[in-house]
Amino acid sequence: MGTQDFVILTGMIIKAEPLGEYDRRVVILTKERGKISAFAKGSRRPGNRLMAPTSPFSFGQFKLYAGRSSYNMLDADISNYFEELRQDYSGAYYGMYFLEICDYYTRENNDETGMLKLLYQSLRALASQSFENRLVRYVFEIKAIVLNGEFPGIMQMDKLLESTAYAIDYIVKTPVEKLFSFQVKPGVLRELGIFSGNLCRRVMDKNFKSLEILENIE
Amino acid sequence: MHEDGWSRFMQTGQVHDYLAYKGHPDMEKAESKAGEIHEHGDAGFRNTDRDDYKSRTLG
Repeated sequence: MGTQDFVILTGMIIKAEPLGEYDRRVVILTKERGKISAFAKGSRRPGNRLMAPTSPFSFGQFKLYAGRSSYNMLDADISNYFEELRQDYSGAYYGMYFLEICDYYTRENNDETGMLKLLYQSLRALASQSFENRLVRYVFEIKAIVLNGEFPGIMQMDKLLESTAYAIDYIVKTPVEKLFSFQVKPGVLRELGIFSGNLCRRVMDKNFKSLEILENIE
Repeated sequence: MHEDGWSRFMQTGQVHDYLAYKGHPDMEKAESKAGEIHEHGDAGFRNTDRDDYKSRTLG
């Protein structure tokens, strides 16, 4: 295998499942190639260098060998494990829900930079303690729908408070990097939740397992 | 194994798998932020420009 067979991709592990006795199959949302799956041989062996990098939420650079029909992970340089979410089970469930939405919405070889940025910034906001988890969730849901071109706009029948309509407009128009820079009052948060819930039911034809759990613990 | 415990929780989403990963049955140590409300000023919506949270672009 020549050096040109290797690729180094920036991305985040959005799913990991055990394979055989010591291996894992992971799904990575990457900046360069959209959503890809890769095999991480030996990553479940104690002390293996790929054990932590192949856990969900690990963000960094992954060195992969591109085979004929799949990728094999050779090495990883992780810049953020989002350890904070592991200490906070509520935050972990929100994060899992975001990973599930990314898995649902992204495809291989698509430009998924927007979704990767949204995921990264939303997890940072969850971990930062500066934002209420529900606000992060509603912002993530609405922006994910906007990025995928399915946002229908605000309907007259939505009958929203002026502040809620302004918040939605802000979420729609603001670049992902600057998205988490506002707070809302409880009444606005409640309305945002109703708006986002209705929107998700209208455009996403999937029941998310983590959402069911999340709604039980909220 | 620590990482395997986390991966199991990520797959099942079950609270008991989270507790197994954490290695103790005490849920209080898993601090929940759900229910916290931040109120700032009278406006329903407010840009905060927080110092403690600076956006960072992906590399």
